[in-house]
Amino acid sequence: MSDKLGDKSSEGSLFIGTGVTLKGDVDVPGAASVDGKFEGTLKAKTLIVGQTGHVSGQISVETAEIGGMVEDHLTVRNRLVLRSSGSLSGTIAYSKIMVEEGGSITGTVEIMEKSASVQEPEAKVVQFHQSAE
Amino acid sequence: MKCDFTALRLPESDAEIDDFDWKAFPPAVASRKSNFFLIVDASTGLGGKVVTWTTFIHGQVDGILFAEHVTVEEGGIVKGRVFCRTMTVMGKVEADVVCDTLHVRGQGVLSGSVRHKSVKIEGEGQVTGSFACRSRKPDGRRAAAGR
Repeated sequence: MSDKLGDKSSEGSLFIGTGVTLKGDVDVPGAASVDGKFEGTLKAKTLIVGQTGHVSGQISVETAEIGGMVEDHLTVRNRLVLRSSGSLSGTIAYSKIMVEEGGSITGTVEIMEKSASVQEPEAKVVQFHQSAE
Repeated sequence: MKCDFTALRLPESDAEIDDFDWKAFPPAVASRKSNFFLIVDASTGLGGKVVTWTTFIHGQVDGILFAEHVTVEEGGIVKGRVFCRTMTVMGKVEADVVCDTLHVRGQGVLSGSVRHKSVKIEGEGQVTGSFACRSRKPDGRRAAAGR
């Protein structure tokens, strides 16, 4: 995990090690890697939660890889990956999702608005049929 | 008729769901000697209550689907309620689903409420709705319940 974090170090990263608890509002330009415990509001480009990691609160990230536990409200604007050891509970919003067998999801799951643009071509087809008649 | 399928009702409570014995499920019993299965082809729509052992759905099922193994193929649609042991979704499901394992693959889309033991999502699979992870019984307890 530290290797992954090291890749993003130039963007300003946060690492919460095993046994460490951090509470508060945090804005991370790069990757936030949690092997310990975080409670509060977290904004980051990437969230990586290790098997021992526990994150709760309002979380908003571009991408997330969850191997531990995430609770409350998680918004992932791009890709959410839930590993087999991972657990999500609460309200989850995502654009793309991948869940490994064994990963646990409990709560409300929503797709972010990006999917609305996917439906756009369908609406155009309807208009085409109407004009053809 | 080997069984009064109309009398089969979906387990409702968590206890009923957990204690449901798929080995005693009449279609499963009937399928022991031959691997029976139901294919709902792309030109077919079914409504009401469908009870079967294994089904592959290319068409549409509206209502109650009660089967041990359900595969909603690409282009297939299921609406209503589903009670099954394994469910694979490559098509579209708008339903309240109770299952042991859920696998959303390819372009599969699932919306509704899901009570599952294990879930796997891959490819371009999409899920929305409420998810509840049913507790996994220890093997010993399951074995005792089956006696």
